[in-house]
Amino acid sequence: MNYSPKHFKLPAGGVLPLDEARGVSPYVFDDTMAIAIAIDVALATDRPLLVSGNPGCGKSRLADAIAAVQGWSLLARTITSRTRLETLTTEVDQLRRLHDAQVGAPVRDRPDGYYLNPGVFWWAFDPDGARRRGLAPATAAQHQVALDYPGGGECPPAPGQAAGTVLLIDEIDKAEPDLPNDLLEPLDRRRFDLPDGFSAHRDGVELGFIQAPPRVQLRLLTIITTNRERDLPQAFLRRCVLLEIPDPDQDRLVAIARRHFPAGDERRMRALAELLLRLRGQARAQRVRPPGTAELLDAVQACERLGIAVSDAPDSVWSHMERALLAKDPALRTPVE
Amino acid sequence: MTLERGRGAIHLGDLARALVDLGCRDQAQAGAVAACLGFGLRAPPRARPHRVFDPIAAPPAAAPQPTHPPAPPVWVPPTPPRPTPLPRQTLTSRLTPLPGLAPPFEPAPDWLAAGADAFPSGAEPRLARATLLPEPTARHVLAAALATRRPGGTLDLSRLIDAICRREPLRRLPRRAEETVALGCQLLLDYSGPMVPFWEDLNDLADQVRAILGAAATRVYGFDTRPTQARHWTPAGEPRPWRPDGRPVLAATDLGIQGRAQAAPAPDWAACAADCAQAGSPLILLIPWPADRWPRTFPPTATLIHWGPRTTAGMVRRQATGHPR
Repeated sequence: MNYSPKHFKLPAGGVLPLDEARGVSPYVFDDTMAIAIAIDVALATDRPLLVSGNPGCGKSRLADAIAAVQGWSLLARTITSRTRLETLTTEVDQLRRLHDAQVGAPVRDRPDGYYLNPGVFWWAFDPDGARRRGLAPATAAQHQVALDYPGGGECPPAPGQAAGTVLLIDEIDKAEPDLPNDLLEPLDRRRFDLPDGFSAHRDGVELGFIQAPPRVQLRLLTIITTNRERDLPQAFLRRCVLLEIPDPDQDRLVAIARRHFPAGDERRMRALAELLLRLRGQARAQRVRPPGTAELLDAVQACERLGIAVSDAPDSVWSHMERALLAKDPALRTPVE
Repeated sequence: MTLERGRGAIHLGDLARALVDLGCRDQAQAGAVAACLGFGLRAPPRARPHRVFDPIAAPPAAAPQPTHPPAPPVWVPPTPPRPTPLPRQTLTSRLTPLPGLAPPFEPAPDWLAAGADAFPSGAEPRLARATLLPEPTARHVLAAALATRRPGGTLDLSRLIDAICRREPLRRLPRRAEETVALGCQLLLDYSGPMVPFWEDLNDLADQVRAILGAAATRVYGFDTRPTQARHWTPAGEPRPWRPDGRPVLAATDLGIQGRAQAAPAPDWAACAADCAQAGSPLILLIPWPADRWPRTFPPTATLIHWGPRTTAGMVRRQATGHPR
């Protein structure tokens, strides 16, 4: 099957080269056709892209690579068990507000919006308003409110200008069970409500919610990653475009390592890739977490910098490197003689 | 500003939009696009809908009458004649014993060889069955049962107002405790004889807990009657004894009552509850029997929950209210 991406600018050969000037790390698109189709479908239907795969297979880096390839800005937030919907939309700095109220004028006269801390959804939906914490431009200037854009990649879109944003919500399965369902409204309707009693200025109108502009004005690709540690709610899954990144084979592992370390020892990279695959098979048999591509890159980097040679000796530096970087789970370690 | 309407779950319109937008003309491409949108995936397992009597609900509509002509009557074989009654007196046997057993060279009859095929050689089909915690509610019930409390939730207004009135300097906002399942749990499964009818449910429960908490945060132990002797088997096949470690302990068991009303629990449960209390591990018991059969003498530190399809998250929270974690 041949497929020419329509929205996704797939780089030549499926490889995003290193670009130090832009701070872009290389990325090898594994199974380019599946990735291109999934991204195109997500952009065509304006649905979030749920990327699943084993840890270290490059799910989070995929968002960086897409932002770099498309020339879009990148916003990212890693989910923890303490992440709430307010963390991703907006939080009120109540403590500062309370202190200011007790200090007296002039800080006591600050507007309510001064205490709103925008989350990634606000920055993605309305970067200009988030920069002003939702205050009217004149009020924001009076109170010297001008937040820096928290994302990376290209510059955020100027007001009224067509542009794109990649929003990465990383490791959704680390969240409390209710969070995925809480995200349905921001993901589905591209809007969220501000806390009670707060409002934001938009085009001279005071609103109690933040709404993304029409889709023709703001292209937004939301990428959500999961390690499949937990099942996600069906209502959430039914709203997502699915992409599963498989574990790369040996040739692909070597290609990835070569892109990151162009001057590296090819034979050693191949030996490391072979070792990684062997440990992965062992991990699957032992039902423990298998090492991923990220660990392979760490091992290649360590071997390159320290000049570690491939060795079969049980107490060699190579074997210690294996235990320290690849066979991290005790079930994978061979005892030292 | 116009409000954007929620679009709900992915539907055929999304597929049509993607196919038109991406200009798919190839059957394989269309299949790949549909797969990305979740079409063709296996439907989640669904338990049979549980019927609950509702006095307010309208009576069900009568089934429509079939429009096709009635089928011809089924032919019924004639009733066989009554068997001849047995004689009252004892009859003399006319059978004569054989001189010995059948010789070994006698070929086995065909029916004996065919008898081995009485059961199909293929895998036994897996019958559909409803779990004790149906899929739609299991997530909420188990999350409520296994939640622990930690600081960092919503603002504690009463403490905040109190601090302001006393003019105390606030360095941290007082917050209410919030529920979390981040601690994971220890799952104790009772594989004793009286629990045999629930063994499939025990396996389902382990899968359900893993799906909610994650496999890494769930440690499954099995035991036979005595929970303090529960064991976890490592991938290498080594048994690891159970010890409460501060995480919630969820035990699915009948407590040894075997369905008898208000029978005393197996004596080991008191030691188990004491161990959990000492380690600070909340003990939650899922019992497949209804509440009127539960023992009255169980230690009050444990939370007893009916393991059944009508159990809801609200019932679990109310049950756990008396045992703050």
